[in-house]
Amino acid sequence: MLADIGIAALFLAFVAAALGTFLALYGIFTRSSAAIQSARNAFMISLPMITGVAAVLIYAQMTGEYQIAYVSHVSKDAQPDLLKFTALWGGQAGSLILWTWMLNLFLVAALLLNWKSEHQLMPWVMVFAGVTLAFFLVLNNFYENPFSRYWALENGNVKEAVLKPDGAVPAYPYQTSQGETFHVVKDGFIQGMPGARYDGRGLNPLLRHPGMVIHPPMLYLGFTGFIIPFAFAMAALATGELGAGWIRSTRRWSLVAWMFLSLGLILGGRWAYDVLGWGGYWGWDPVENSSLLPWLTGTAFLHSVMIQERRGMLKGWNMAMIMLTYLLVLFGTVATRTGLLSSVHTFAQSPLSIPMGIFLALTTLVCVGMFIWRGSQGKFQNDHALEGLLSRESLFLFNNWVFLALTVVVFWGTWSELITGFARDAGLMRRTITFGPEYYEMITPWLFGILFILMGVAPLAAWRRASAQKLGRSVRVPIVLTTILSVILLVMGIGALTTLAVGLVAFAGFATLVEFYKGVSARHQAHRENWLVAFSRLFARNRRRYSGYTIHLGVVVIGIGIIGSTAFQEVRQMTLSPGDTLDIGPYTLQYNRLFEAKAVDSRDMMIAEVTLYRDGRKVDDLRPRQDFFDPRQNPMTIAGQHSTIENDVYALLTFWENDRVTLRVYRNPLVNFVWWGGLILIIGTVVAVWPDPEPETVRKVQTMRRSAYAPAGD
Amino acid sequence: MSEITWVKTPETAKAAGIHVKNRSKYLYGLIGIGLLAVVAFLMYNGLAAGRYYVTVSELVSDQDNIGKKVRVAGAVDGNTIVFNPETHQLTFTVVNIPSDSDEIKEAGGLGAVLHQALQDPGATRLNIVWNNAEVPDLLQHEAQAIMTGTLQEDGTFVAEEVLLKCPTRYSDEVPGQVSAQG
Repeated sequence: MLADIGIAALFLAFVAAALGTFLALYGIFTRSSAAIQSARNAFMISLPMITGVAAVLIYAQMTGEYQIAYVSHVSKDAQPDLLKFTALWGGQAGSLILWTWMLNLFLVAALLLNWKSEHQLMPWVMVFAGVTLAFFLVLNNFYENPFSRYWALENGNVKEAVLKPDGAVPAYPYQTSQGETFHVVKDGFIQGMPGARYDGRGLNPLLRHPGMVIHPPMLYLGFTGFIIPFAFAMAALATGELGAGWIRSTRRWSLVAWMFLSLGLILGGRWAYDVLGWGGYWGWDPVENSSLLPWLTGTAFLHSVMIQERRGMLKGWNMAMIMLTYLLVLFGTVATRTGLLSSVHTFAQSPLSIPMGIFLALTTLVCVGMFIWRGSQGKFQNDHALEGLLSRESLFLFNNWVFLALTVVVFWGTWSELITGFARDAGLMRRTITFGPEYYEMITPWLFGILFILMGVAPLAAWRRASAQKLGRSVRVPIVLTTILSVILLVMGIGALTTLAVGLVAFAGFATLVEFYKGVSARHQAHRENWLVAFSRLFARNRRRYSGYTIHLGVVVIGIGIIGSTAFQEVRQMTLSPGDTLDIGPYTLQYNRLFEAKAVDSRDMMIAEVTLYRDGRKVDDLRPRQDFFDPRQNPMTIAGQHSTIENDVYALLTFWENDRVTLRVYRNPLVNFVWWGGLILIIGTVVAVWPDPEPETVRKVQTMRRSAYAPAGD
Repeated sequence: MSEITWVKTPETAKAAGIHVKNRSKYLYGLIGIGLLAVVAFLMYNGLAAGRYYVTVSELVSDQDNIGKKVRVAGAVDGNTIVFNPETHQLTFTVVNIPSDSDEIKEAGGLGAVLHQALQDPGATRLNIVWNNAEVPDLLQHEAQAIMTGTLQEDGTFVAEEVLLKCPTRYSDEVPGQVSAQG
């Protein structure tokens, strides 16, 4: 019964989305504002429908409706309530529902926020976002229906089907130590087995972590969020209104999506660090790369779009970049969803690869086609030409080139296995090539290095034309500071390459801090404000500029964390008897004993008790452990961690025999900078996207006035 | 720095793309080509880090593979997993599985392929040695191991990186029969 409600609501949501898309198109071609209005209503209705679907599914997970296959795969009675809830995104079918729900949520948000201001574009926004929404609802309904149930047929076989087959009765899974069996149930109990209650298999242990509660939704918000800027861009192409309107709405929405994507990436790193147990947070895994790719092009777009807003340049380029970002989102979705790439966290091979591949191909075709069509009409004609090589426009363009280069490098590394696999099948190559972390570690640092230089210099450069002399003067202080720091590092005996890396990152940091200092001290002197007031007013008056600088500072802090934890990481593995010690850096770990315990959620834990000393003084107790959820499942290694500003000590229990244990211990210097930098970056982005207290038009006039006096303005 | 004095150049009349004044056009081109060259050079160098994907059978049947860094996938035989806590050496045996995705699909999915491979007494086997190893959580019977490393003269494979997947665990596609009591 419950599942039937879900099935009906899911189908109606599809009907509403398909109807909405059709009505929007119909309204555009017949110039019927009634049809457009109805289209809008259709998307307003599909959202509560999908919300209902998600609610039904969550309710089924919470109450143990294990006849529903999805529920039995991700939930079981002994699972804590929070995880029964978040199991919505613990598997393919459920997370696709969340995905669709977010798509619709963004569309409704855009309909509410931009309906008046972008009146001309909205019908087409509905068409492009609507097609995508309807496509995902097709997947939800006909390929990965989360309400598919187990049925016992008359011949004794069990079948999984959405709708009840003729003569079938509901079948329920029962977990034994050998595996799963299926039974017919009466009054909640299995017939013929007194007292035995059916149960689900439960969530994959790796996903039973707080990071998994928020990481996937954030990443999905980042992915789905790009539908809106993409739809605006396509709407602009369709209408030919390639002026300021689409850029204005697109930039804000891109920033929102970018923020969620960044948050998803950072939380994903944190989850990997805490749970996957290899002492790292980024492994250049294909699925990780797939979410990094749109982040790279999205970041490029957020920079180059400023050039168009300000100077009416790079119109075609910006259009191409937002299209590319969205296509990379789709690529990433295909990669994650279909198991095409060898990765630790793809979903199982699924029937989705064909419809998704077709949708990706069609979207690409439409993008390229419309781009060429409008391009040949001269619609991307720029208002100005690039002039000075050191102007801000040029430096931003170079930044885009480098981001694009990074995208190509990462894309090739990620997809080479598949591309060369096709080439091999076609007889063009003898073998399939794949790339591991060392490929990326060899190439990307150089490109990131260039980006850090540009990050320091570009915001200081003047628009239009900048003389090398003038630019040189404005970077003098950061260069002097960087030089001092580098000399200190070299004297301390740190390697040349590491010093170079730190120097480049620090240069960007110093340049940004100097800008903050200049702004605050100017206000402090001119308005006699105290430093704190001057700082907050500076933000209030030039929010975009200083929130951008804050994001840059966040990236600098992340950069320091990455360099520290990569260049100075130490690993030691030793087998110890009780009382034995292991030294790593300034730390000593003493292994005391091994004991078993049972957690509240009935998992068994094997815990090694370790005391951590630093320079002979006790600083912490660590409990590296392995969790066993049930005998048929893999253990899960949970690190014992000790975090300080300077260091993370990260101990893993990798093996034991009687009371002898093998510990693997990492010292990860500065790794916490990665998380703090991430926090700074997110705060900066929140400030940047926060809605304006004043109307857009007023702000624009002010910006223009200000710009007449401040060549280095935003 | 007012923008009003700005005069359009003839080049801006062009349809699309990035417009640059003539005199600096070459400079932008130069920078672009420079960047391309750097990326091409880096990626060419990166090819050295590329690993060839081979099956267990392909790996052991060709003497040329000895000493070359390759990536090989196989089904883990759970009875062979041994960790030596004194030397920190992990050893186990994998069994050949097909690499072709169509072949895997026909056989009933990766889970079925792994299961069948381990039943087959005639399948090619490969002994894996992983030094300074941790014992991965997912290393168990019928897991798919994707290993990067080199084949030695003595026929063992020294792994540098081991990636594991357990497809049967959480993604059974076809449920079985209602049990007898039902």
